[in-house]
Amino acid sequence: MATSTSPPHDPAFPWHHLPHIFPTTQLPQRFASRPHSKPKAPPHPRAHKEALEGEHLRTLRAVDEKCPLYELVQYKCDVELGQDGEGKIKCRPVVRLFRKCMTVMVEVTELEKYQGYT
Amino acid sequence: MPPPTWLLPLLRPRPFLLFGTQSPPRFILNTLKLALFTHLIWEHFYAVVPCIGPSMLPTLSIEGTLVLHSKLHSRGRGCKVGDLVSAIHPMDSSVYILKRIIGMPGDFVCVDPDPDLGGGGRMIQIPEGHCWLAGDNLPLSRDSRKYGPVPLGLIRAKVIASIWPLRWYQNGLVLVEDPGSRI
Repeated sequence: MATSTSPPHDPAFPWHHLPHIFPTTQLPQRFASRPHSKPKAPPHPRAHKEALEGEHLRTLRAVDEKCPLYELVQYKCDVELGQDGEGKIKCRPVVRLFRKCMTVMVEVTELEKYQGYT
Repeated sequence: MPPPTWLLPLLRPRPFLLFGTQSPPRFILNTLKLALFTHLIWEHFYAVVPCIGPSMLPTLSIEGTLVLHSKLHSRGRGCKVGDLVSAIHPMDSSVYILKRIIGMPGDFVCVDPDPDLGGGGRMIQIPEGHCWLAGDNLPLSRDSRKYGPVPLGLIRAKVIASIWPLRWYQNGLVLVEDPGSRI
């Protein structure tokens, strides 16, 4: 299921070479090693406490347990001919799943395909 | 010094449709004020803009919709994942795009969640100062999957409502109450 880290150079997609792109299988490591959020001055005492607790949320297993799950529905729409010969737009939903961890949103739509992540 | 007699008829108060009875110079001044005030509201607060195309089906119709822009959210101010925004096309500044925000700076996002459309199995962490935009109708939308992360500075406004038919747009991100049923 793994895809190559650097696809062949395609002038139409120059951004595919951004270092920010990685295969979904690397998400646990990438998430764990994400840069620490910059402290915003001056931190509110409660916000600061939350930020400290957030530092423990560096493994996706912890993310699963502590971060609420959100869904965002997008669509695949197509024109289909109805009985009367008129075109009708039919849309099928594509559900995207996100975990909101403190301030970071992590999309877990594809992650569920990769069982056994830590 | 009193104005010359030949100018007096021009300065006499007259009834005007919008501003009541007033002298012509005062009428011109008031018209200018109204124009500038309208410009201020339109450019920096709220504007009504038409949009057209199949990329945001079924949220926006293919024939065209009048939408209400909130310029208070320009440059991504206060925007969140799931909001509809209007932005300048990153590769052609004469084109405006209307998309949904999928990721804000620092977020982890699937490049393409649908393997049928290619690009499955890859993710991206959104660079600082950028966002990830996608149309609601994935097959017919050219968005961040095509041109990559979009600078927040290109966001012109948040789209908060459609004027006709009248409808307020909610944030598309919904909390899943029972996660056990989904994963």
